Amino acid sequence: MIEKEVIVKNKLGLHARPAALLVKSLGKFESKVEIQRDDLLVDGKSIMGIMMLAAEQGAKLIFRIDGADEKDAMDAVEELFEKRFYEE
Amino acid sequence: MKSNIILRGYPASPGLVKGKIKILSNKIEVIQEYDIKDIEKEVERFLTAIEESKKELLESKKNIKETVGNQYEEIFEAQILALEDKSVIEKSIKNIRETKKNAESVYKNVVSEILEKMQKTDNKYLKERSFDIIDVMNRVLKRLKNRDEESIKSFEEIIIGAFNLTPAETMKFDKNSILGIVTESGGMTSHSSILARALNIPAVVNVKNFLSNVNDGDIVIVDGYTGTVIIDPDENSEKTFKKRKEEYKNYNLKLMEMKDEESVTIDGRNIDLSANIELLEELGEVKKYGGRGIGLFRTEFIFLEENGYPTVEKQENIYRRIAETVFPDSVIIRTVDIGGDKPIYVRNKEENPFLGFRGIRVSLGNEKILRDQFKAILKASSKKNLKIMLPMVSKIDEVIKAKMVLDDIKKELFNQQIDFDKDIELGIMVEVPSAAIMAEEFAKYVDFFSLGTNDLTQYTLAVDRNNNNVSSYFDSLDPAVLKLIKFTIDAAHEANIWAGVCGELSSDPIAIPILVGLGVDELSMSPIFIPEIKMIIKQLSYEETKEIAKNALLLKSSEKVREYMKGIISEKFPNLIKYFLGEFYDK
Repeated sequence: MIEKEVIVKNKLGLHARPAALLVKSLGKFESKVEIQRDDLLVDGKSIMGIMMLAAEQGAKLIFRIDGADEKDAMDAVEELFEKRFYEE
Repeated sequence: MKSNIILRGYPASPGLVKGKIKILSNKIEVIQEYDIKDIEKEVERFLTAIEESKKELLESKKNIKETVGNQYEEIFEAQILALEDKSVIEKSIKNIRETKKNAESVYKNVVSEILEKMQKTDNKYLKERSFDIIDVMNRVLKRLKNRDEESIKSFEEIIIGAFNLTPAETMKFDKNSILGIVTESGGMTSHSSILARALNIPAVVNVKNFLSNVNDGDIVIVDGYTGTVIIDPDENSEKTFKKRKEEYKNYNLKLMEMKDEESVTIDGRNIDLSANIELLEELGEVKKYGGRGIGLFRTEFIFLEENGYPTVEKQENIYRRIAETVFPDSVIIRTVDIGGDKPIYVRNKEENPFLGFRGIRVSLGNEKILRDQFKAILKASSKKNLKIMLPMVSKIDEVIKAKMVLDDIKKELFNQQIDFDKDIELGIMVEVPSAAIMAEEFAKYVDFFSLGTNDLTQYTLAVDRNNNNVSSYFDSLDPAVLKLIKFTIDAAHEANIWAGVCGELSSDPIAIPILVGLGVDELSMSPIFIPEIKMIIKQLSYEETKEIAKNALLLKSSEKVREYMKGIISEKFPNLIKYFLGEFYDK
């Protein structure tokens, strides 16, 4: 299992569009994905879960990815956050 | 007794219709909870509702792509993912089995829990996005509640009333069953207005107090030509409606037939009619209504979206797309005009934002904004059809400084061997009285003037038109304002540059003979008004309008000017819709 903290960098936060991108991207991997923000823990492959985090710019999220392709999945996550979900 | 309540808003999409109103709200559907016996049948019913809602969303997604392109596609994609969300579906099924309650009550509880968390945030943008989820949930709940009875397609010809409409909401209706749209919020350029025009659905937006005056099922008249809405019309209004409906149809046909003709007076004076736009989605309308290029492209939304600092690349892409779409006609790009009422650039709230740090004052005070915007415009200018316009100019110095920055950037691009329009025209908005009074001096430094009549009126008459206590003082036909307009146009022609009007006055039929008579070279307006203004110009003679303008400027009040112009317009254009219809209902 890999665990990493990721910061929301895009200005508008994790609204519907970036959440959709994240879910679509993670859907390609077999690994199980959990995202934690403070005491809220959600399924990283569920758009409703991600939107529930209401993560604005600057929010810190902990990703826990567990499975055969966990490394690739984490790379994909980091790239999306780093590239600000291609919003700016 | 019929209440016959007459309300006014913005005429967002032309047309005149009457029908039953269906009020949409962002409120969550009310549902009943009850026990079920056949659990597996209930689970199946639930899954069918999800499947059917998905089909409906896919259909809307396809429709919207065909009508306005794919910029809203992603919202639909997110909604479909939310609908298919495994954790929600699994939890709902589990709860149906455990509680033996009906699917709609279980599903609503599951989604409501999520919504509650989403709405906890202070971030307004994220909070608003919960509407997208409410929309998804309501679709499923409606299906579960009524099965076949009230599927959306079975709505018999209705008028939609709402506080505001999301693109998804606007698209989910069967085009043929929506007669009209009325919203309490929004402007000419909100998404629902643009979509309404693209779909040819009459719409009136920004109708204050609409929802508190109307009940679901009321008969409502929507007049998208004048921006009038009549709730529960009386016999008189009904009569007017019937009579006018036919007249409108013929009138509109006539207007659209001549939309591509030249805009020339009887005696041969050409007046360019161009479009004011703000969003790329509106580009299609420029051509649709026969506009000659874009006389005002507002860039505020690009900046607001990016918290005040969009990248050069992002701006360049937008400007290039407009330049290419409109070519060979030209596009005037106005540098960003954000002021203290939208405090991105000022830390403390200003007491009087309209007299504060706004327009060119911001761009010069924070030079990176101006440099980036000039650079983006120049880099997109290789087709040589872009022009630059500075807003809120009040001193000659501002123009001189802006020109120095522009020259600097030109040098930079030249050294980098980037292709751009070296002779790009630079003009100013004339909207502050000092600029109009000093027009002769300004004309030495710029290539054109464009009169922003809304602000020019506000500053000349010292009237904030959003202030209800004084809004009746606001009238752009006040002789004081007209004199400043004359002053500006005369100074322009003296210096061999052109002068246009891009404020609301340019789409007010009653003002057209005066503006033509004062020698205006260009009028820029919301695209939908172009055909009617063109029709007016084609029936005027320049020589005659010179007399009219002269007479109007001798009058001593805006009331007198209106009275005089009304006489002229009603004699020459007895069927003019935009002007006369609004009055007609009030009688």
